[in-house]
Amino acid sequence: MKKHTQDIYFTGYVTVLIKGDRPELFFNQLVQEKVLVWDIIKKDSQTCEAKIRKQDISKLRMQRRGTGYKIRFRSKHGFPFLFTALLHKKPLLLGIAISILSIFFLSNTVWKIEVRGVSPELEHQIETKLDDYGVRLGAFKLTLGAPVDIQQRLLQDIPDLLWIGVQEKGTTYALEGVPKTIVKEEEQPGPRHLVAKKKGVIVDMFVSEGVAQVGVHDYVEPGDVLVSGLIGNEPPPVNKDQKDKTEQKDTRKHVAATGNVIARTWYNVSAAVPLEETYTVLSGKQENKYAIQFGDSFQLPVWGFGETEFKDSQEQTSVRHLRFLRWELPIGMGKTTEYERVTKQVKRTKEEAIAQAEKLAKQDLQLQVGADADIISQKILHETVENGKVKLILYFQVNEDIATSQPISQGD
Amino acid sequence: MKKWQQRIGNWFTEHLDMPADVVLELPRITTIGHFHAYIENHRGLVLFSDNELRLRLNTGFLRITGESFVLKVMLPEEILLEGKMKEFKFIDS
Repeated sequence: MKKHTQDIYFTGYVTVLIKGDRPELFFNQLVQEKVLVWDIIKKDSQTCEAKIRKQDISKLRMQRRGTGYKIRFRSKHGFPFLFTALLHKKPLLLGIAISILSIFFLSNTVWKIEVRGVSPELEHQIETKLDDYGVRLGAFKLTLGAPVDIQQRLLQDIPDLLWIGVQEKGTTYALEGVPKTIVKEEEQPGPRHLVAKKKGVIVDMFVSEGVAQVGVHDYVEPGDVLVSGLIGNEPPPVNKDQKDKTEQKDTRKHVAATGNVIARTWYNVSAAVPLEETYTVLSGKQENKYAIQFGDSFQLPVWGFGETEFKDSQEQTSVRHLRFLRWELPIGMGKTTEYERVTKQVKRTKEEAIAQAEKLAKQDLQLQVGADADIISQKILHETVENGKVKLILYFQVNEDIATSQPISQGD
Repeated sequence: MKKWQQRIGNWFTEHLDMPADVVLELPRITTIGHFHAYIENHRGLVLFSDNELRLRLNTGFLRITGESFVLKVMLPEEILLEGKMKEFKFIDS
């Protein structure tokens, strides 16, 4: 029986007063029409109080017609009435709306910017740049770029930054920077020799400390001592007989040999360049589209409609979600950037291909030997054309510093 | 005709162990202490007040007297009465 009245709160019910002669008989009629009636009380001989569901009110009115009974509604209960009552309280509703809106706005506002791990000057520089991008206290977060974008722009604009991590923690932007530091030379290197790391013919030497062991035009192999870190006379060879009695003391001074030893070295480099080549590049043209994003997939475009006129394009999409307190709402702003992509086809003559291959080989070698080295001359040793490719083997002469340090062991 | 029906009904309840209220269309009254009375198979409400409930039955009326009566549930053939009951009386018509 209770079953009937359990969910009644959600559908709503009313208390009615039935007035008339023998009002209880009216319920017989109602019950026949499948109207649920409960908690019937006889107030006095002319009045009955009862409760009926909200959806039965129209049936009640229909049944009343022509009977002479009078109906009066006394009180309303349940959620639907509560809801309509609430709707009539405009100031309350307005207040709720305003508070939700303000929480919403405040949740999407930048409240704090933290920069850590950098010097105060750099910190100031970062903050100025952030201000330029619009990332400042009180800014609306939706209009700002994604943290990754901010990170990239900061890295581009501040050359002193080696790396910066931009993290969005709710209403706080936490930035952690790593400044570029000039690695200082080892303060005081231990005693050492300079030895050759490659074979070559020495063309130039500059020794600031130590004793040169080789001269210009000498040919050296890897491991040969170029500059010795031992200064002074070599002790006379130890006589086998004397060895037991008096040990000759080594009087030589140990120093850290420093200097540059430039030698001519040579390399064989092979390179291959195709005669025909197709590749794609971004032309630099781009178009932005903005859309309001609901959930993961549904997008409502707001700016930039239709297809772009690009024949081929590359898409990059970033979505920024609205926040409410610490939750990310499934509603956000999506930005799609389309970059035009152009396919280029290159046909080379054999001469052009060879020139290209030489250029590539030279670049390759420069990377290998380092920027300080000079490439003196180059020569094509061998060239073949097969499978639509030009293959070259080139010979290079390079002037480079071949000195590398080798510590002197000082014994135990 | 009615007599004849009742005789068949009586035979059913006696020999086949079928519940009397179903076969004979008689009211079934369940009470819990003196404060709840559940009446099934009645034929309509005749009178209801603070201290009396009168129901029409197939054969006559049922009169319940007491104090502070409330009809907790009212359905076409069922009534749940709440209050302090004193007397149940069957009245032949």
